[in-house]
Amino acid sequence: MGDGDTAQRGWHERVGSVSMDWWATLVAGVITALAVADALPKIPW
Amino acid sequence: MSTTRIEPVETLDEPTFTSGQPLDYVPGILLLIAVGLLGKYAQIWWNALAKHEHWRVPDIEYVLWAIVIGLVITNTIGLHRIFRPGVQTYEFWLKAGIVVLGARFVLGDIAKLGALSLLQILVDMAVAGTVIIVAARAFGLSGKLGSLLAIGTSICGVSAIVAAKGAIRARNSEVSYAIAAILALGAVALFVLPPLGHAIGLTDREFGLWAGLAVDNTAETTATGYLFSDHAGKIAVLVKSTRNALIGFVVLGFALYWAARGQADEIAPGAKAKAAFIWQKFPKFVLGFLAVSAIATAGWLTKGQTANLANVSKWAFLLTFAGVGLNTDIRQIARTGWRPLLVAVIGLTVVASVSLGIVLLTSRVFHWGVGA
Repeated sequence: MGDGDTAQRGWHERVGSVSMDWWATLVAGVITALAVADALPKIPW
Repeated sequence: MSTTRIEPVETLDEPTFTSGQPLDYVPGILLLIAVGLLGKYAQIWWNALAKHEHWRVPDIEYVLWAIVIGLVITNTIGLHRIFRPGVQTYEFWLKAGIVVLGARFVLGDIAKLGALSLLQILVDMAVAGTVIIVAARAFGLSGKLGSLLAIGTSICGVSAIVAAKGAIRARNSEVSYAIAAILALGAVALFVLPPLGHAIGLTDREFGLWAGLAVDNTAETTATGYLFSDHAGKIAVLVKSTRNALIGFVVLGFALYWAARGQADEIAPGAKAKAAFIWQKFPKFVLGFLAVSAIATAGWLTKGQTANLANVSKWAFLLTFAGVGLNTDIRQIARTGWRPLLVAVIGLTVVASVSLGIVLLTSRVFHWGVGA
């Protein structure tokens, strides 16, 4: 196994160790930050 | 007997993503988007057709269309395994949608409604939990299956059952039974509660409180609330988030009960270990919801951006509703057997009746929080 594979697996493990709750909070946080900066484009419904 | 320490591995109790490869999620997420969009446009097409043909038919909400289309796909042609990782992200969209929905609440309203619903939740939990444990015993179910059904019905559906699984050392078959029963009940509540709420003449706020208190799984709670109205959906999400925040306390209570009988790992002694246990089970997205609400309360969002965030949350919920339908396999639920289902049905009836009674008592007799 090469260094690249090990690094990739390490990255996957790190990403996988973050719970879905935190990922949801992080993604929603970025969207909210864009809204605060008035940089979120108009979202139609 | 061993002692439970808070190890990083225990975070596996929380819902996680099922694949380490980002591309594995693409087909399922595209399917969620397709079913969600189909549901949204089905409502528009249905109304246009009814108007054109001069039919007098009820307006069927996009929420119901998305769920039903998903249900039909899963229970007829089935869900190919290539779609599974992406379809199972529906919980992620639900949680992200709830966090963003925080923009529609000011902290004062959350505190008022949260405090009111907390009181209602505690009464509801005590009554419903007791009835379910007694019913489970009467129908000859194991004590731990009874505990799981009580946790799932009175608190937070599947997440609470999964959180309790390790803590009370329940068998996998007991966990599967309890999850299938809770999911079946969620589906029943989804179709029964909104028409019942309209028939009783509940206001949006009363129905939101009722759905938030009575429906077990957060995705189904959100769908049930939004099926009644947008405002009811918002209230249901807030009440359910308050319920979710209590997971740690309830699971800790059951863990201590089973540990005292030598049938579960002991919690390490001391308040610090118990606080760590509660934090480990705490749904972290609730903190995100409060943080976004604090931003809205501070006035950092323009009116247009608040509306934008509300629409982001609606899109996220649309994917959740599609996922609810796509994840409901009726054959799997039927295989559960009639006894756990019967206990769960008794549980739902009790929880729905008790919570409706509490909502009507507090809003129409005591007039608590009517202006909130």
